[in-house]
Amino acid sequence: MNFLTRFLTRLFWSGVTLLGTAVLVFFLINVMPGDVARIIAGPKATPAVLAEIHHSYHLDEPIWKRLGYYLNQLAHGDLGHSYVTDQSVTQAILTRLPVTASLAATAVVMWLLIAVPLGVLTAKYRGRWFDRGVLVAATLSLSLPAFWLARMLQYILAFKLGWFPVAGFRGFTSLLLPGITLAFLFAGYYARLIHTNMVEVLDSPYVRGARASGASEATVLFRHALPNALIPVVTVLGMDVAGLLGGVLFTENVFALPGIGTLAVQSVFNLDVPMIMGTVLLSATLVVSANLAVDILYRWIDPRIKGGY
Amino acid sequence: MKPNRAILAVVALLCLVLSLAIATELFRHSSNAVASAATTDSAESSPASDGQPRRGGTLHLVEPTDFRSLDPAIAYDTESVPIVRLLFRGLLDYDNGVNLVPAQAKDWNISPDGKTYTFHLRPGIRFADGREVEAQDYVFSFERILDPATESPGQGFFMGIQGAAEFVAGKAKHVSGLSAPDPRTLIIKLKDPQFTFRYVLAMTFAVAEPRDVVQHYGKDFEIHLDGSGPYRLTGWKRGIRVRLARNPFYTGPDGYVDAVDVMIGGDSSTEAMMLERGELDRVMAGPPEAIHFERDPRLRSLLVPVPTANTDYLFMNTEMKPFDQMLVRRAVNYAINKARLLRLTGGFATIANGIVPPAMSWTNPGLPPYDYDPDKARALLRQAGFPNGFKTTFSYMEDNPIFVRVAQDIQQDLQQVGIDASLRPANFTAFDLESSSRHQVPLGIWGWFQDYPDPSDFLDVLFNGRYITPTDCNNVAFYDNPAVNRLLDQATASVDPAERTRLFLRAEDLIMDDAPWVPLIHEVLPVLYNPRVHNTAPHPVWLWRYEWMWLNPS
Repeated sequence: MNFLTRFLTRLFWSGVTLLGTAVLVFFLINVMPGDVARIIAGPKATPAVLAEIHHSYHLDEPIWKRLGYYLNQLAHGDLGHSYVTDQSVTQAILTRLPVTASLAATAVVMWLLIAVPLGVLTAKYRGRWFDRGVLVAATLSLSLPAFWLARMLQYILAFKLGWFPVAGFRGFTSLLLPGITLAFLFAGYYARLIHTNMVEVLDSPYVRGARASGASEATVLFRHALPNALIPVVTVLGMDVAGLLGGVLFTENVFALPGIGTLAVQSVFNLDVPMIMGTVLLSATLVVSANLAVDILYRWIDPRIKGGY
Repeated sequence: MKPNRAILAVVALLCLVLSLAIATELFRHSSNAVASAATTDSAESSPASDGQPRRGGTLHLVEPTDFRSLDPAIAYDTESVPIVRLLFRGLLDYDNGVNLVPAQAKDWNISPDGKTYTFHLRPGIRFADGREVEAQDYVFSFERILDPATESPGQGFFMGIQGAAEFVAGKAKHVSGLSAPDPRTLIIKLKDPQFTFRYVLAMTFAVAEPRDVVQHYGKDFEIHLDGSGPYRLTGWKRGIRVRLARNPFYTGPDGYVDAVDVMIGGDSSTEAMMLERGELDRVMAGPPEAIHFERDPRLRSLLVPVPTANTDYLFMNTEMKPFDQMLVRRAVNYAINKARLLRLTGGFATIANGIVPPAMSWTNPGLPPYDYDPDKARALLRQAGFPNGFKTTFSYMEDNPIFVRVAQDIQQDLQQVGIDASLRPANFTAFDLESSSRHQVPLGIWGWFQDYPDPSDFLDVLFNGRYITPTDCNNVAFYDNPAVNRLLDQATASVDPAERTRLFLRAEDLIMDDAPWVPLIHEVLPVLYNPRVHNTAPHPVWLWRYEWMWLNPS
């Protein structure tokens, strides 16, 4: 098979995955008991109003028909309207995506700034106290629960010391503390990932060749070894960024950031079915497309990989 | 080899720059809020009593989730109604207590038969777009509420207007009982005399909406809310932030603060920290957090308990065995230790002995006392033919933290007298659906908040057996006593306040005697205020009157 055929096959299965997710989520949410009309109109609504709502949301029709309406709506790129605020789900997601995206970007830059030097240096000084110390710190950062860390940083750095705003979104400064929280949680893992790849690369013949040619240690580490060690990291990073964009539930909630994660949590509490489905579908789309993008990117970065996805 | 680094750097930087640019652009105007918010602890030395009320500043509020709508036809909860009041005003309002006073009406008059209400509007009242409010705007607004397409939760309150039923059924283009003979005169004719209709006219459903703006924007009216209240909407990012500023055309008594900023999101702990750092002016807490606030000496000094006109109750379905027996229902009333329930709420409640909450300026000395007495409960159960007790199921709403705790506690109390009640937690919609349908829930917990300060809102709405429907029934005990129905019908039809009170007191006594409910508690809201905020006393109907609050200078 040539590249195009493979790409199209891949695209087809991505589409099937998303359709499957949509159908599954639709059934899971719609078997929940309760009358949506009463959520919309409140407990004192008159039967005439309830009937009107049942009709306008197709709630008086069988579930397979409603699934049909829903899929048809999706096919037209319409995610529906919130039961609670009547706002368009697409619009709600688009308003919040910039916040989540800025947070994800801030966090990625922060954790790479920490993880890359740590990964490179621990590989160079492998087995020494510095390497062991970083290993312990990385294990610790990996095992910290996100909500606990977020709460602690918020309490100490924002509430007690007043260095950052406690919560809410009022521009870039509001992103720093949540960014630091996420950087803490991811930096350890990335430092170890880069370390492992660097160790492998540093032992390879071309690095020995570079050393033998008299290149400086910094040139060897950062120009010759690091780029190759980063290749597998791209895959993981791609998936992690997709995950972050799909909503950073705990971090966004603790810092009251109006992002996708907060939207998802709020809609679950409000039993806002279209909004829940919208956020779940967004996450699924991001993960599936990140997967696809990473595969293509990977081929391009590393010409040794031919076919085989 | 070079592309890798390039790709990484480009992807990360592009992401950062692009999204930052969008985000900054989107939220640029919100940043000027920080300056006015950064006023911390400035009020330490100036208690509420010594300062003169002062104009200016921005009041910073927070809501855990966004308002469903601020459209007066839709908004119907204790959080959105006080904001709607800032944007819109109606014919009548309350004074500092529960007495009605004219607002946009210059005068009003009810015909001797109690069926015709005539209002004359004050001249010079304008909407936020500068147009003068006309009586025709009221006719339009009331018809909009009645129109089923509006899906208004307040539709039922206006069904007493003559011709409303025909209009709702689509048999008439207009409501025959509503007319505006000239721009300043509004006449409302009712089908039958209805004393409480005056309270309906003070609800935020009954405000003047600019008919041209509503017609122009249709469903989008909810973001173009040009009302005739003291403030106007200057920004609403759904789920993120709501901003209000003074309405330049408002002619009534002015609000003190220049602007109101409502942040959406956050949990109580975060909000309490923001309040202490001066980022917020008021924070509401659920009972679990309130207990924590009480233990913290700093927070305790900022805590204001706000009594609400609500009753949380245990209902027994009088159509289902064994609760069809009055003796069993009375036994349950004696079995429950309400003093212990009070402790579960951290003291943020008062014990309910009757149905109508005292916050409604209501006292009933004649209520039969059901003091905690498990022996008496066991004796009553023996008398009813259950010497060994019985088994039943006990439903409650798990979304409400108070109900969860109270349910577990009541289960133990019932166990003590031999009633084996297995707990059935459900989410709001499921519980609401089951409990409002006939023969579904034998025993459960529910709560009710007042709509207007009149006992009929509890007694007639929740106990008049004539209103029982197979589904969507508010009378969840399915209680139907012809003697009580008669008293309630007489009381609601009467226009003599003294006679109404007498009839309602009698009805409440009879209901409590039949014991379809165990009234449990009246909730008290724990609210934290930034010390820079003054005039925070809660209003008996509106709870929060933000236009009355004033701020210390920064």
